[in-house]
Amino acid sequence: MNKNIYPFTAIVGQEKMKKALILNVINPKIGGVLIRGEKGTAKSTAVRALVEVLPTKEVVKDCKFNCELDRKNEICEECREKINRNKIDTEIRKMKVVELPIGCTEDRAIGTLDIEYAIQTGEKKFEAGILAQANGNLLYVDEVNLLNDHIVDVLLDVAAMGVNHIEREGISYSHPSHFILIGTMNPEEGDLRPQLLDRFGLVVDVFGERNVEDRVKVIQRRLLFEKAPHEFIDLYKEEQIQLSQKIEKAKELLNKVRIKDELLSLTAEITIELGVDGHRADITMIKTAKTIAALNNKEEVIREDILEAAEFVLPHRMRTLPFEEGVLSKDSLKKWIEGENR
Amino acid sequence: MNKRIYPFTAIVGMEKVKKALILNMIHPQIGGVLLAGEKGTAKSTIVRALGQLMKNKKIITLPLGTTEDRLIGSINMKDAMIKGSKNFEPGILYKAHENILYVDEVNLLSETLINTILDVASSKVNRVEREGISYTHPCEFILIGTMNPEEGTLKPQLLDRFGLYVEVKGEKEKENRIKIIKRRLEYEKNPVIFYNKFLTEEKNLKDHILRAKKKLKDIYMSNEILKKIAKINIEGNTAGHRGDLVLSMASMANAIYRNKDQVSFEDIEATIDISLAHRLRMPPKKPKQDVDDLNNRNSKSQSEDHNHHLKNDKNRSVDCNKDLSSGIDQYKSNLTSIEKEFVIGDVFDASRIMRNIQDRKTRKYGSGRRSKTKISSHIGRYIGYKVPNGKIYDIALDATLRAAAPYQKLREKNGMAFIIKKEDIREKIREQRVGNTILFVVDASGSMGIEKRMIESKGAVLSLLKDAYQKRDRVGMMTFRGHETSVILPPTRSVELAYKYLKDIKVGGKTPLALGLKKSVEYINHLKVRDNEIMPMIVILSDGRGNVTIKGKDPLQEVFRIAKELQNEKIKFIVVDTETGFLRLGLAKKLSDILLADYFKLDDLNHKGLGQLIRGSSMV
Repeated sequence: MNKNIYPFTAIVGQEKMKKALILNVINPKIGGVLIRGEKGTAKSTAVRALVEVLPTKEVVKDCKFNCELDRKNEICEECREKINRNKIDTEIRKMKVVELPIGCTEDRAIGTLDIEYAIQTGEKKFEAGILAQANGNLLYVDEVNLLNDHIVDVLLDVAAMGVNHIEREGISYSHPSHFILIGTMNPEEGDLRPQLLDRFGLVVDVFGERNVEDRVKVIQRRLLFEKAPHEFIDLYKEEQIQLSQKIEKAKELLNKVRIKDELLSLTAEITIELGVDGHRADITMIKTAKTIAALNNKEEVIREDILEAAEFVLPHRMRTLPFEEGVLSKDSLKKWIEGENR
Repeated sequence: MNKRIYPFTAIVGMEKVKKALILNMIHPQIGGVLLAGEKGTAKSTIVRALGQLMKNKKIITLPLGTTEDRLIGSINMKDAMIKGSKNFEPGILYKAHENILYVDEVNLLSETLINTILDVASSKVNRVEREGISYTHPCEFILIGTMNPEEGTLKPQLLDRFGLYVEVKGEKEKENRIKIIKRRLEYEKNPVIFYNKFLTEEKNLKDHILRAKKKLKDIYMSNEILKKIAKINIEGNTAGHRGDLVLSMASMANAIYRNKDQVSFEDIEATIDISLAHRLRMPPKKPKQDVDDLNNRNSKSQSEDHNHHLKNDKNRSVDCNKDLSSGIDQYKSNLTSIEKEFVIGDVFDASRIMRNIQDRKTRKYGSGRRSKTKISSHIGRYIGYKVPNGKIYDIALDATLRAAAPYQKLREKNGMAFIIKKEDIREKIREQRVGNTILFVVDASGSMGIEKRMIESKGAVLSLLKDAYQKRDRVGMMTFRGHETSVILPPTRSVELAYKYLKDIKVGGKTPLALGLKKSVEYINHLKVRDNEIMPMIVILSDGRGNVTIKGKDPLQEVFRIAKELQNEKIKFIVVDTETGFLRLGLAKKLSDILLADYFKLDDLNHKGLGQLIRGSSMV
């Protein structure tokens, strides 16, 4: 079933959302992104559209966990054995967006006994679940705030450890499960569990375009896409290729990006001043800033990058409360940071 | 062939419904129709008639009691047991592909199912990841839902997902009513003859629709029209861009239907109300619908609903209490930590709020969530299953059988037909809405202390909501003033929504306390029709000095009389006395006594905060 996917580069506006997604693709260590916003603001469209611009990577051939040889600590048992026997082949695979539907049951999420194999051979074998497919890929949960509590528990566990342990039905098995967690939600349908919220590296709030010209563009493009999908996709081919190349390039550059000590201390000052507890915020801010620099084709992080990163990283960690507009909003945060002219 | 259904073209009136359905046939991307109206307004008839008209489309009906596995699809039991293989057993959504999915009384459907349906409707793909089955199939259908708003409405965010919305009303014209009766009788006498009379009309309409569908590609839409559509949506403050798209597509379909090759303003006008009626939020405030249906409620049907409801409640109250008492001890141990959290007297004090958040963060490790009680509770709708963790309380038999099925070939039978092992056991997940539904009923008249009442109640609503996730509570607010009540905030768990709706509340006017009491209880009972499990609580903020009657002379006597009637409702009342000054009449206290309510004085709240008191009350 090959469905036509709306091109990522054809999405009108929503620059922050697009950027947050791209940053995560470049640097999976950022820790995923949660996109919050009303219905019909292209949240799901954007995530699903991301597939087309994802980079490729070298993984072990036929490995169902997409093991990568240069990530030595995150390799599954089978691959490890193959390495020991020196019998290892690799292949190039494109990164994927793996979806976790909200109606998903636990056994499909974490994997289970391969029963057909058991009947045919009398041997027990592990049948990989969604968390196996997700290793090294993006794991997308639409309506993440509606996910059942027990699935959230599993997700939190695995996301924290990077390993999926299965102990059930006479099977004891573990495999690596590092994924980029992407969630979308409409906050009007209820809040996200705090632990899960904290798990997302970045958070972006999206709104509908408020300007007539842009809205017209949204309608026009969508109608055109519905009418003639192939032609529409062709129109954006060039831009899509450019974006993919930009991502590849930034990925290569990322390891070379440096950050000065004074910017590290700026980061710490910001988080201390704002009373953000835990160090996840600081670390995520630095990682994000470095990735922003790489995306801009720079080898050194500048002040602006830190400020931009703060907008993605801090809002959900210093939860603004109603009836005190302007006190902790993103804008005020920025003003506050910018006012600090040292 | 089979029995003839009442023909589409024979339906009298209902032009808007017909139009909405036809436009969807021409342009399925519009995204379906929600028909809202009272019983007996031929909602179902017209949908079935549409199926007959379009011939190539089947109407797939979703029964109300459907379980998740039947909707999405599941493992094929036969294959699993006989061959030990895992094959996909298609569900209702599979059948709905390229057809019409008809959901009668969509507002009574469990939220999990509605979410699933709407999700699939927008992604056009059904992803099944359950019971060892991983299966994906395309799933494009035209969604038609009906609801009777008297039985509770859909949440705004679900409403929005239906492309078009039509309010169905009974025909008011005498001539037309007579025509309806005549035709109906004629049809019942002999459906085939009746149908044949409309044969040509049916065929013409069908051909017209099919022709229009083909021409959809060639329709022209000028920039001017698009701008107009965008402007309308900006002014109406519709959420996201769905309003723009639906209005565009509906206008396009309308233009073709009129045999035009370009969209004109006329087409916008013709489709604007069905495209946007359920989306407009200009100044973001209370959803119009809830208030309307409250006001328009027919008192007769309401008391019927109500009786029916009480019966259900009686059956249920037994195990409900049992479960609660087991949970209470656990609660009490948590109480101390919870109390700390609700130090909210003044909602505008940001530093306090910050401290609060930190409390909240440290708390989440220590104390248990109410979900602990959830495990032992057998109340709530069965919506799914899980692998049990520890002791098993509530076995999901169907899921257990499905889990065990593939292993049957492998297992030693010992003369038994079916072997279930411990690892097959699955436990039910029930829709957990055992939290409180707390409705604040606030005197918004122009009397003394209005500001304090408002600040306190807003603060309390928000402080309760901040913890709503853990407590599974819903909090709402209703005000009364002048001669009316309004639902400012329909009960919700979302802080975001509360913020939007509570921002601007109109105040001033007289004090219709009796009306406020009556309407609040009606509103709660109305919610209970949809959701039997809610534990309702009404918090009244008033000084008790009602000065407007519903009917009759003495407003105070009326208040007490109504209160007396309400004391037996299965609702927990809290009265917060807002009386100030030297001369106190103590009317609120009297009201509280009659209602058998918990009683607090607003003046005493300086240190404790209303949210905390209410939380305290809800525990006992």
